[in-house]
Amino acid sequence: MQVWPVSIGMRQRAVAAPQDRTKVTILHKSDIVAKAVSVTAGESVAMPSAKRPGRRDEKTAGAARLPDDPVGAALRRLHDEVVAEPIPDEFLKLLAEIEQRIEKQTDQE
Amino acid sequence: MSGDEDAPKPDEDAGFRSQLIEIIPALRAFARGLCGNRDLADDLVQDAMMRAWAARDSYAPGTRFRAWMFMILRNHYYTTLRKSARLVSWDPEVAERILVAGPTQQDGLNVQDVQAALLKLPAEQREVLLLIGANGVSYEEAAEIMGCAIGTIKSRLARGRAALLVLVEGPSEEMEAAKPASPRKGEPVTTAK
Repeated sequence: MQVWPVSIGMRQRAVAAPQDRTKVTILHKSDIVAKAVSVTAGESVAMPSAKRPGRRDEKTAGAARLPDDPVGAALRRLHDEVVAEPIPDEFLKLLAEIEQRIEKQTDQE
Repeated sequence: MSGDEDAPKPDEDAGFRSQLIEIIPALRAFARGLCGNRDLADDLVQDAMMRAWAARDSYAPGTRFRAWMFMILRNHYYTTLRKSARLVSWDPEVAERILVAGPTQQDGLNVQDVQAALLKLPAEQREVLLLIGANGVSYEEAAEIMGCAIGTIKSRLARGRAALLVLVEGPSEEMEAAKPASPRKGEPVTTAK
């Protein structure tokens, strides 16, 4: 029995390994959280670049607009139809009103 | 009148005005999609523009004008929605008619069907579909406009897309198989009346 302490020293290392592993799994959980955070951060960093006009189609692949996604295609057509309309007169009147106010300000100076 | 805040800023205002002009088409498209009615939508946009003009000092130059403007329009839409019954009850029967009567296009979904279906969705799903799907706004910007998390945006988008597809194309075979006993919507309504 007195031999044990010596061999325990050896075993402790062997036993220590699984303990480390549990430690690793515990750490791993926080790793996952850290990863999730970095993924979200990465996304929010990545999105603005996707707004450049040239990358419009690239972005659609990840979002609602898969190239052959019928919903995305229809929504875009809906949008494009309205955008293609000439701007109604009421808007131009409104803008003219704003323009007048700016001119008044300029006169005051 | 002595402070800088009160001093007229014609140059800044002119810049603001030209930004407003540029964004009108996108605002009209967003508003039209939200309320499905051209005149109501244009009223909403004009009101939003007036509000934006009145609040132009609170806009921080260099930040996203589009997000700021969409936020004003969206807030105004919800305020109006709460106040006005005509914006709440979309006349679903009209929407139903459009849904049935719309000519089928060879390519993809019919645009009128999609507009009609949009109006049947919860507003939060409708607006996220319009912002991201139609307007090409990023998740991040949509989250900024709607004042919620990106995860919320993504789940609303996914649910909205799925619901829209069912409304336009009918339930998929898988969904039918999943609940064979339940009658389709609409059918009990026609028999009841």
